[in-house]
Amino acid sequence: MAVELVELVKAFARPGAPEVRVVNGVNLSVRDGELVTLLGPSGCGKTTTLRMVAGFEEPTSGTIRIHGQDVTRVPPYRRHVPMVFQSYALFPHLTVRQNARFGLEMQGLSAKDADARIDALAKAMHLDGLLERGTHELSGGQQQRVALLRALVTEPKVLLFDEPLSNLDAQMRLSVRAEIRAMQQRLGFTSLYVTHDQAEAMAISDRVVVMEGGKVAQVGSPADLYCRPASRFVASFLGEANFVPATVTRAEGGKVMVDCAFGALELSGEAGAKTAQLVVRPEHLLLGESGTSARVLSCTFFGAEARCEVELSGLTLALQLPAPDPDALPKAGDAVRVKVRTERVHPLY
Amino acid sequence: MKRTPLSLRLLTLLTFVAMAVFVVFPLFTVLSTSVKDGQGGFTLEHFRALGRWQHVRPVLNSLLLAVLVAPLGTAVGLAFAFAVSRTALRGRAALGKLAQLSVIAPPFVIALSAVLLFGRNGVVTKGVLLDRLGLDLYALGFDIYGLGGLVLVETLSYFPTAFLILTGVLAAVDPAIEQAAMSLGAGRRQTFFKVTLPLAAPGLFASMLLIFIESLADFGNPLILGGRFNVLSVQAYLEITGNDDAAGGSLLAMVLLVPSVALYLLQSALLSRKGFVTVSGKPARAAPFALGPGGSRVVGGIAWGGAAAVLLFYGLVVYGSLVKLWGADSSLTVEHYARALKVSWADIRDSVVLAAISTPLTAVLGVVAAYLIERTQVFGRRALEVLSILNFAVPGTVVGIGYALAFSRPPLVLTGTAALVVALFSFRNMPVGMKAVSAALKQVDPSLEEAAQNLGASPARVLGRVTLPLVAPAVFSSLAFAFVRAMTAVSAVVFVVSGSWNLLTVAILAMVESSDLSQAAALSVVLVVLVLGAFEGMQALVRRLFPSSRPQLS
Repeated sequence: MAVELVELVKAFARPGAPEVRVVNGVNLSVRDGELVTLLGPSGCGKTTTLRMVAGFEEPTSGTIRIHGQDVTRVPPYRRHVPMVFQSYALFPHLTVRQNARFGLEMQGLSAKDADARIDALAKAMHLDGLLERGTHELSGGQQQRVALLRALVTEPKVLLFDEPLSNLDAQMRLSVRAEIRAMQQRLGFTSLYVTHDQAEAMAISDRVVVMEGGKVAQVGSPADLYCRPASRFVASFLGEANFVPATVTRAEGGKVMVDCAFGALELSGEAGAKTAQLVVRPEHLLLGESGTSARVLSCTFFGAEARCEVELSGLTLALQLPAPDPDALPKAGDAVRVKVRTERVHPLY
Repeated sequence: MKRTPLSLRLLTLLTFVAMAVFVVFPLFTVLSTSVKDGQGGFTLEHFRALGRWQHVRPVLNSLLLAVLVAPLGTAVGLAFAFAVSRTALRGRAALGKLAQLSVIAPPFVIALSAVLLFGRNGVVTKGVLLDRLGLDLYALGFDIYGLGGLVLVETLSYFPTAFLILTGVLAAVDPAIEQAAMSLGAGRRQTFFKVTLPLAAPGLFASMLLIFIESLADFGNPLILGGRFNVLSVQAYLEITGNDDAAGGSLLAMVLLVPSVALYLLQSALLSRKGFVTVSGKPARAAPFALGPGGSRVVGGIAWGGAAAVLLFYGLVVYGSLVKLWGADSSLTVEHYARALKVSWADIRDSVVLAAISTPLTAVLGVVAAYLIERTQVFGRRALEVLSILNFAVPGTVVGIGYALAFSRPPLVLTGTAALVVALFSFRNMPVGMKAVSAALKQVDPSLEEAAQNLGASPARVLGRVTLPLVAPAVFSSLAFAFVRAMTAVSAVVFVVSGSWNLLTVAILAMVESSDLSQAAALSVVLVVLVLGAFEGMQALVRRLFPSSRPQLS
């Protein structure tokens, strides 16, 4: 395992008040070559977890292992886990090359060997033209790529990212994101990546760790989390979700029959309880000739899709129309029929 | 293009006229006096005097002293700054407070204390070494009067300048930068030497330049402790008051003025260099990089050593003020206080009254100048800014000579009046208020003022209802500084005091010169108590009136 976190806890004492557990019993294993994202709303403990791995915060209890070695009490500069910071944190008094050389000097490499490595990697990252510049002459996107170069060139055991894209504009964010993922897949470096942006997490990760209130809510591949969320929190944090209450009528042979606003549905799996909340994604609801009747509350055209809100048996549901014709959109008050793609419905018991 | 309202143009005109009369005119008088012959014609004759050794020596002495004090004061200030903001040492808050309070202390108390400690009758030199151990330092060539004593005293007086600058510079370093170094494998020592120190380099240079200027301009310490080591400011004073040589004094003042202004401009350019502003992104919650145990011991040792020296020096003044007859009778008494309050009551009253009158004037000038510079497009606002900054850099001796010469003859005769002292205080301290208010105005988003206008407020009401309330904490904070600076001023006012309006600081210097040390010490204690009380009181008032703002030191 590249990184193992065992029962990791970080508590802050507050005078005259109970301590706050910002990180409360996190367990996680990151495999070699994997890019794992810590995702969650602000205050969920993701950044604190990352900073404990880096060694900038000391855990209150628990263990951190990097490649099998217990580093819980090892100072940051002996861990060899460079971080790419949100603010880039480039040394303003050094040029790009000197920035990149910094970590290699710390490893005791000669300037000549260091420069050879820097030149090779900078070329691969299309930064070779910028090496002799001062860092303040660079754009935000270039600065972030230099930060990545500076960390990568040390051939780290594990690379840490602390919301690296959040200071970039929307377009730059997409291209740097793609570049990080491409470099990661080509060089195969292990990464722990913190973000609060679920689209970023989906796009870049092998696995995503959703955190809530200092705990791990769910770990899985992006597809896993999206299709089979373990809780309402995960379902609504990744993408948009409708929740449809249902009662279990029969369960046998890996099939579960439920009764809900859409009538009787047959789902696969085992029943966990007598009642359930069905997670229904907006794109899994279809308007058509048959199905449950509903009334349109509103409909908005977005180009590639349109989104409607409908009222169905007392529930307000969001649904998504792919490739819509803007002249033939449903209007508020229209009576429509809604069908659900039963095979994509995910029950939470 | 919006037209500038008439009221604003009048205000600008008025400000320029006032600045011309009370800032430019005195300086111009110094310049013109130094190049005028007896009949009022132009001459460079006086510059020949610069070739005379009696004039060259003070120049060299001043430079030598400043060259020594600048790095020493910066080193002590650096240790203080690191001890306070980058270690977990016990009592570091007290160190910071001590450094801050040293800024507002009168600029000659430490020199007085040095005499009490190391003079011929000093506690150390006589009381301990000579009387107890039989060691006569003075017989061995030691003399507290002169270069060595001045270096010690000015280092202790001016390290807080470096402390304040470097604390600001360190606070502006994004903690992520130092963490990045550590995450790349740099240990504490390497992070300190390869990242933190280079990032603080502009602050180090700026501190050295400022202390250099302060040392050049220092008047109180060399007057007391110079002995035969003559410096420029004191020599200029002696030319004017002793030899009655206005041209010679003016000439030395010019020699003092030019490097001061040049170096001041250099240091403000250094501190405003863009490349080294490293705060970016969201404010990091992260604690800044801390020194390891070894580094903490080093900076802690220097800082505590400096602090102990400062405390010793101030403590000695209190002790000196209680000793019956310094060097002869060590029994304790409060009679010096009784006498000080009786004999010098008028001086104390004059100091407080004149400082109190000039303080609000300083604030008004500061607010007007800052407003014109930051918030209007009036013609000449850049000139106003440059003028204010120059005003700040001019050594007090130059200003004092300028005032003494400029206002002693028509068209404007103010010699001997309270108005002259008040004008001197107000215009000399005006940059303090202006800088604080300017900084506060820069923090106020212009969209707040636009929103008020958008809601129907006239420019005057925007100013009264939105802008001024937002900068009020800065104004009040700078009031405290203006008052303190007026109370402790020496170098300029020494030229404009008179029989009818004398000041506490000048009275103390006179007592030191007549070797009335205990009396001088008692009055110094009174002065320090007045100043500290007023300063802390004002700051407490600011905290009370504006609970959300933090008092700022400029």
